[in-house]
Amino acid sequence: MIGSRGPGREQDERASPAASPAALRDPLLRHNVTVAGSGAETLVFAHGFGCDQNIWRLVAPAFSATHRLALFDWPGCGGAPAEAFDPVRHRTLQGYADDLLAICAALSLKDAVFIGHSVSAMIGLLAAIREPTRFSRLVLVTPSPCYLNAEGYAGGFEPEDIDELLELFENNRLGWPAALAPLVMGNPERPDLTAELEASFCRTDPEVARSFARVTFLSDNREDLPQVRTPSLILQCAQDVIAPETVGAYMHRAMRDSRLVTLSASGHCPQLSAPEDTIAAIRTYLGIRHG
Amino acid sequence: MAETRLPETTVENILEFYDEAPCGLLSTRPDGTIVAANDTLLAWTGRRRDQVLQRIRIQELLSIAGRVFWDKHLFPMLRMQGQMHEVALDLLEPEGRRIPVLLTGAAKLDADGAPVLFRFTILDATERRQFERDLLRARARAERSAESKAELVHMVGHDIRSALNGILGGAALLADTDLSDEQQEFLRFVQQAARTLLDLSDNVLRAGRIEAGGLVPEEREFDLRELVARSCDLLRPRAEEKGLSLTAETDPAIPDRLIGDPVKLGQVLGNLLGNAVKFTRVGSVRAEAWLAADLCDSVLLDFRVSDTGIGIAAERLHRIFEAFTQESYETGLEHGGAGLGLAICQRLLGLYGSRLEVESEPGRGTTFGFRLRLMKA
Repeated sequence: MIGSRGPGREQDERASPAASPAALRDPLLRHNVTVAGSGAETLVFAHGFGCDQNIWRLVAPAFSATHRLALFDWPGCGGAPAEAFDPVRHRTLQGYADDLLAICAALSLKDAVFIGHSVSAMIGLLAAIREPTRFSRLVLVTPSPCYLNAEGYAGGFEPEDIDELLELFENNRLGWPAALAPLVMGNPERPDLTAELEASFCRTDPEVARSFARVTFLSDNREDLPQVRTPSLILQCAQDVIAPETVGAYMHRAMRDSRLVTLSASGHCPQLSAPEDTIAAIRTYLGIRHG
Repeated sequence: MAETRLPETTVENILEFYDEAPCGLLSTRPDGTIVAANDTLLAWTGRRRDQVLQRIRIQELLSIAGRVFWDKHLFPMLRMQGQMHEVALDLLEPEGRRIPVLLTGAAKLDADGAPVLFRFTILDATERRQFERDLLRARARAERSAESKAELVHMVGHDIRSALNGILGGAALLADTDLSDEQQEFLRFVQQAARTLLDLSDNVLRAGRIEAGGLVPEEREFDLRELVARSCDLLRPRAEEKGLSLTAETDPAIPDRLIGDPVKLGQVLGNLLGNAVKFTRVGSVRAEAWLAADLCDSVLLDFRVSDTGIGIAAERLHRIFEAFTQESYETGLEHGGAGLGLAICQRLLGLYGSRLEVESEPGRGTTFGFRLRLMKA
């Protein structure tokens, strides 16, 4: 390229790194939005911290005959580029709610059903308060408005538990391999090799993960609950360390038009551990006949 | 097993090996309920087999944070991906003592692909964890030490600059006095050397600032044509002194107003032009900017600075961008300078995700080029 005299107007082969500026401006590309199924009503599935849209793999297809499905990744998670993450805007869950509303606007959604897992339940709730016409109903899977214990409220965690958790995420796949992989591969000029090494389910950019973990576990959205006008289903699990049953009951009390369903499945991810029960609970709530 | 060929007198006892293996072995149902564990693991966790099997879940061997990590990340990974590799966690003994371990797991699937068991090997990582902590501490120490060195360079650099400015000021006053031709000649040597030293200290300070990550490219509107022309004008007196022609050409297709950092771009062009003039005895130096692609809201530009100078030997080309090397030791002596200029250019361009490229033929000349994406104003 240097040797040639005069203007060369060839397409530049180095000019497109992971995410082009155009991809970052379009919410559908920025969030790796997948649209499937068909139906008058759209279900929007949002994954929680530590995962990506694949977490809905056992649940979402069950609705593809009756609904249009929209799945997406938060910035730096799964297939969404880390460049989509803004360290300032994403310092609060409101920043994530902005993202969700941008996706809704790009899909021209009105009266859709939002299905959010864990922290995304809170993000969907904030989005529903801001633009009430986007969603007709909210399905909140194992949500918690506040993870820390407070006066008269048992969130389940002390600050030092959260610190240890952040450290765990840092010390594990989200931190170590991303930092070490280039050294191990000995080829920092070939990020594609490293990317291949890291690419897998629940791949999360370490910088993003640190920030997302912090905003997830340190947010307190208890005061937002009474402001929600959208009818909602709270789906909780028995024996969930992250969102204990008392937290589900607290949300149910604080949210006016809410229904609380406790699944017999244990743990925090019923869409994985009990996909059939999860599908059945959502179907019942949406008034779909069991197929 | 049937394939294993052991001496006839040796027979492996698989069950004994399972129990006494030098690592923990553990099987759970998908909900975490422990259904099998070897003696090694039970000894580590300080529990009897009948207290564990079918009674507790693996999550209960973890701290609260570990349980959350399990629920939010490890369980989804095992369920969807079927495996996890060397995850660092702490196991809790009943008295609360923590054992750092590395957990590797795989899912055993039924005929429909649903998991029936998760199987784990667990390695004691006490030493490794200690090693990791030492590494982190060593890194923190190294960073602190690099910082204090950078500060020292910064301080000394400024002191040198003040002293040099004193020398240059004194020399300028001296030049205004009545001097013999011979004295004037000696004074010119002093001024030249002092100026070289001043350039060098400027470069050292600038390199230090980039190293410290203290440089962030600015974004403001500027006129590229004017910038290229001005960069050439600054070098024109030196070029004319040597009888070199110095020309600039800017592609008419390049938009008038662009957004970027004119100061840093000017530094890069100035550095390249300065080198070109310095290393060329006869002929010409030329600066060019061409539009490589128009990308709607931004443009890709190719910059080139070429000369008809002494050139750089092929075997040395790859080293010229390293700090403190110059094309060769000899030319370094002849032409002065510490070879920081190109390293600085490379780092400045690095701020934009670009890099310098070079083509050269000894005796014929050298062309430096780089490609930049700049937003349209």
